[in-house]
Amino acid sequence: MKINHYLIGFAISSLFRRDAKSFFIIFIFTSLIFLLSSILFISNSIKEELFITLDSLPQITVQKLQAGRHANIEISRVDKLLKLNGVQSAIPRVWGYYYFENAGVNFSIVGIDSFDKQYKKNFEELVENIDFDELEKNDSMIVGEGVKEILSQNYYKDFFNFVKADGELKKIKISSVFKSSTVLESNDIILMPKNLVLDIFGMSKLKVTDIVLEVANPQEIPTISQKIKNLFPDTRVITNSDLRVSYQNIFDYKSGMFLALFVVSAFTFFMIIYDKASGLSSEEKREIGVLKALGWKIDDIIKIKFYEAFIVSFISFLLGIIVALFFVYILQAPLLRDIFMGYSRLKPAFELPFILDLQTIFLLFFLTIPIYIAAIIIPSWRVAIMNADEVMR
Amino acid sequence: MSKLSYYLLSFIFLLFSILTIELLYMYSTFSLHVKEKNNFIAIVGLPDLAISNGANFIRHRSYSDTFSIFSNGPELLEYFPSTFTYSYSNNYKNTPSRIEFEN
Repeated sequence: MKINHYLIGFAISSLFRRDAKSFFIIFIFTSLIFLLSSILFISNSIKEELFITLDSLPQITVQKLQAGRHANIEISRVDKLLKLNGVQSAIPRVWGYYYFENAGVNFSIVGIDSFDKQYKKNFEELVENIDFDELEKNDSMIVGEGVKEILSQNYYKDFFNFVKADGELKKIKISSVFKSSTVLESNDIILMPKNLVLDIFGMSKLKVTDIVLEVANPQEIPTISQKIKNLFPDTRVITNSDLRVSYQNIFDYKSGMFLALFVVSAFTFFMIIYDKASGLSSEEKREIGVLKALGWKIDDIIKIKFYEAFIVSFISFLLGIIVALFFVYILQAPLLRDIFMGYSRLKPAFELPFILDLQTIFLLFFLTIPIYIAAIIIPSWRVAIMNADEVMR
Repeated sequence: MSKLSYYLLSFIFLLFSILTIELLYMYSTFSLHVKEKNNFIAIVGLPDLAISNGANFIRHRSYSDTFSIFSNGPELLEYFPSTFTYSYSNNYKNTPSRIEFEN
């Protein structure tokens, strides 16, 4: 098909002839695309942030349930778990929440065996200015940026006094801070040797929070989980795929909230479309009538209408995407980001990771542009097939 | 080509250029730090993001609360399975799950 550029020129002139109306439509269309794509971009970025670390999470976590609640598990079970075929390693973990009343926030305290050499290489990448010798000698901890900030606000610059289970104070030095590249994961984390965590929480040395298993062959995870369940009927076995489902669930919930936004904006859009499709204004009808009277063919008129609609919707689409990318990734989505963040006293100052989600862009493209074009062409075609004198009368 | 068409085409070209520059800028400045994040998670071993931690069952939902995510949420009534941290997976209760896993 040969493109007649005179027709395109005519379509552009007719758009400029109705300039106020064209600009208004472009404005509304751009806002709609901007709103929808911003929310989808934010959601995708946070989702990506969660899912990129999924494979590093423990393959199997064994927790003990007592009276329907999570309880500490006996450390003696580690040996029994190690005897199961296929289990490569079983590591008892100690972690928990420390509520800091002055600021009203929960810190997550994680115990590690000791600041061993095995972690040394990893730590050098994660922590700024780390001094291993000092970590091992003194009671010290590594904290996330958020923790550091909250503690500084409460005048704890170099150390923090934890209130132990028996009410005594435990002074622990802040040795360093996690790098900001992991802030979304590390913001509220405090990492310290296991014995200190046991001391602060007043836990028995024979019990741990949970046990983490590593399985040589990932395909055996369901079988091994079943075996653990049979061996210790009071345990809850959380596999990596359970965590995946949990991640998915939180997004299904959050996505439900923005689905409400999406429905409102899509409804508005379709109302505008319906208004357009239900009939042309008398001015537009007369224009088509005049063109027909001058000898224009039906398909020429439809082509003009197509070009007009395509130019308007395509420019709006591009503008919408450009503004949304700028808003989400350069301005870091003020206001809209809070939909996903929720309320928290310890908000991380993170950057939304940039993910170009072509699927979203194509979805929006095909959801809006063809519908808009159809809503312009169909009524024009209805008018164009009538006789010229009938239209102009 | 008329003057108006020329202006319009230039405008569309300008939009494309802005989009390209924006994307290039983002590709060059944003990095995901995938390795560092994975190292961190490998050491700490806890799931979820530190986005919200006003209550401990929000921070590590999948580990902390036995059944539901929003046990204190007044605006959301609990219903299975959407607001639940876990499906009753066969690992957990020996009953078939109503959530389908994608493996």
